[in-house]
Amino acid sequence: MTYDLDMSHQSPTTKMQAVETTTTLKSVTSSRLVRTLVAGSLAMLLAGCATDAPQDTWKPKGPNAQMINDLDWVVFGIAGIVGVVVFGVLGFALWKYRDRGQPIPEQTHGKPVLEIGLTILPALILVGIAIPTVGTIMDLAETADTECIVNVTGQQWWWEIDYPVQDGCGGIKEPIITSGQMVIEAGSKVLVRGTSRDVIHSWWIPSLNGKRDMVPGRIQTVRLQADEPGIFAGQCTEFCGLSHANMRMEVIAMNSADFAIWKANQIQDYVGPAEGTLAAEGESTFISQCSRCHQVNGITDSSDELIVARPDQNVWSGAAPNLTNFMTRNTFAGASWDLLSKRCRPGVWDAPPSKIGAAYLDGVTESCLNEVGLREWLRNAPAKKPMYTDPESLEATDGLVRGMPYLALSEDQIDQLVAYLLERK
Amino acid sequence: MFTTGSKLLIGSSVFAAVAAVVYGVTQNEALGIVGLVSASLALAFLAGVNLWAADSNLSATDATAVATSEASDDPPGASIWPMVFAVGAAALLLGLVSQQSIFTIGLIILLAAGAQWAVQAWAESASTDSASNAAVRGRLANPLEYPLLGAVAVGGIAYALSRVMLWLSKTNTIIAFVVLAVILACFAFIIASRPSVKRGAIGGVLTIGAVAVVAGGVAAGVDGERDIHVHETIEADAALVCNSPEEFEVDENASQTVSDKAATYTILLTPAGILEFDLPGPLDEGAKAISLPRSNPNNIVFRNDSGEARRLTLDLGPAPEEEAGEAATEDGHGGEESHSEESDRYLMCTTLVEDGGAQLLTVKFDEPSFAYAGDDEAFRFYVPGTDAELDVVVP
Repeated sequence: MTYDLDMSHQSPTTKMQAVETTTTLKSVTSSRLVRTLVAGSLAMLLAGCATDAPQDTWKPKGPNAQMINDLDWVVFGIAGIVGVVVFGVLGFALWKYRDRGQPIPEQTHGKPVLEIGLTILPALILVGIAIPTVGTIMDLAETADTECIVNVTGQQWWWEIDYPVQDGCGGIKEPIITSGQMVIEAGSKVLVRGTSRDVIHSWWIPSLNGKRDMVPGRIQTVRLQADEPGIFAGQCTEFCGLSHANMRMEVIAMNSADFAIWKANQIQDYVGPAEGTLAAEGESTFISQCSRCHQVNGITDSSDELIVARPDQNVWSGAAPNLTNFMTRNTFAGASWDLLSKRCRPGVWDAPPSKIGAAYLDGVTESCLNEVGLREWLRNAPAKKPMYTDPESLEATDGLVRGMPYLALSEDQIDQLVAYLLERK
Repeated sequence: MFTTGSKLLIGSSVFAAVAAVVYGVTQNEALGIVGLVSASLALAFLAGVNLWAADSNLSATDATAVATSEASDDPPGASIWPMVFAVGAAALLLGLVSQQSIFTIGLIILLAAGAQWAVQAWAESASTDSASNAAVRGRLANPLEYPLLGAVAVGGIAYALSRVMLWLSKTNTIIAFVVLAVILACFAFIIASRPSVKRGAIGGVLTIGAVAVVAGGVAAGVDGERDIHVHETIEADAALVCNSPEEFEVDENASQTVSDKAATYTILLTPAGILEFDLPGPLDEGAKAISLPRSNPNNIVFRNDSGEARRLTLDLGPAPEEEAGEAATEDGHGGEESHSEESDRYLMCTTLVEDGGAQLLTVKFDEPSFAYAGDDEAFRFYVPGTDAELDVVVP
């Protein structure tokens, strides 16, 4: 709609009507703008009231995140005061010296005292902010006092987590390898050593510490420590390609006894399914369809030869999640989907700190499995999580996939695999 | 009705046409007819243009007409763009039959000159005032020209500086650019403290400086980069080299230092002849095994503090079959890697590292260590000529 506001050819009455129309239009526009601003502000304000916000940076659950939080308040406090003063003075000057037809006052050039003062004052403010900032950075970079080392390796689009042989973490005699969920002992100072196999990723568990880029060819470190048992969510925060949004992870903190049980379980010898069961058929299907990329430690072929997955021959990053203890985790596919059904999930995720370890150690049972989600994944993984797996589009990667490809599994094979995977605990 | 000029052209055209007829009747020769007919048509065209423009029909005594007619407008200024356009067209054609780079340069010149030519022609038709036309042109073209020219100038200076940096030695580069930065800072302070300095003087100094930088860059570029050491490696029997503490030809030119280009794993041969490794975190001291990730290139720096020249060798497991060879590895800087017929192991190693020196080894494990079960089959580092060894665990 257009309005003719050229009133030169109109009668006085018409001109008055046009003026009224213009005023009304301005009023309507102004009113809409105000309403939009108020609605937007309210929406942002109300977003802060969300209770299901596991990645809230303002709710530290460990000393490292607490240090960042404490620093935030100092910096935001100072920045807030500066902001109020600057905008206050600006507003006062705009109002006090607004154009009322008065003559332009005498113009002066330079006022050394004021200029020097307004240079020194911000410098002092910055120094004031720098002192606690640098102190916090140094404290967060400290590694000498850590008690447990966990390696994380990012690749498109999941995190591999391994525990090297060490005296830390209560003693690890055999390497442990998992993905998506890092299990630690609550209260223990954990040092994450991270890198990447393809592009730059970023590890961030907001309630336990800040972000750390994981860069190919480099080893980056970040401290983690949880005050008490709990599940702490995070996600990759460096854009890393198509499914960056589906590259998530969790840290599960549990008490010392539960952590010891978890470690012992992770290095148990492989126990194959009983003969004649659906799971046994699933083992065969796994060997024929999955073991090229996914390792299950200890699995052997019909000649009793150890099967060693070679993801480097099929996957661009050279790695695929180790599924030895798949059902001890409760998320899959880059920790983006639950292995637990909606009915059972709160029993673990919302468990009180004193019970969360035991609840997590129960793993995923048949009755609690998110069977629909897992089946969808097995049926057509790229349809569930965008990945570069189209055989006709792999020229740039020399035929190697980035993600899990469509395997054209039959429904029977999916049944078998679900049964087999349910026993991977 | 017809101006004098038009009458001349019309008459000439008619004359050429008549001449063509006469020539055709008397000579019966086609070429002459074509030429005369062409001349007649060309003259007729010019006559038509002259009639349409009608700008020459002025009385020399009519002062007003002389001042206001289109013929009295300033002629278009001299323009370089047609010539540049022609150069671009020539380069384009030359590039078509020679090199793609010349074609690309020609295309860029052609487009740029064409655009400038078009804008100038458009601006010159805006009014009869040259200054006003120039302003019109500036309003349209300057917002594009200034950023582009600025980017080209900055790019050229940066490129010239990079040539100078690559020409100087590392130390001299640091010194030269610290001095340059100080000079620039001093110059800035002088300008700031003396507002009365003329703009022309500042511009002149900056221009001289820019020209000096570009000239230096050209000279440095022509002279070439400084000598950058290349790690010498030759074909050698790795099984022999990697199992020996002796020096081979491959060791002769090896660098004994490693740049701090990346956070790496460090393996140290101590004076006591023990292999230790250093990683972020306190828990690796005294450990008997180092954990290294699978399917990821691991940069491992070997530092030799043993008092003697030593090399670090990595045993990558048995190689009984051809396909097992694919399990190992990428060669690192100065590293030797191979499966020899004289050995049933896959080995890779650094070149001989002098006491106090360092060498880099890059290795990627494509299989976990449990794929080679048994103590004598696991991955391990060792130092030939000593008992030092360190197991490797690949999860």
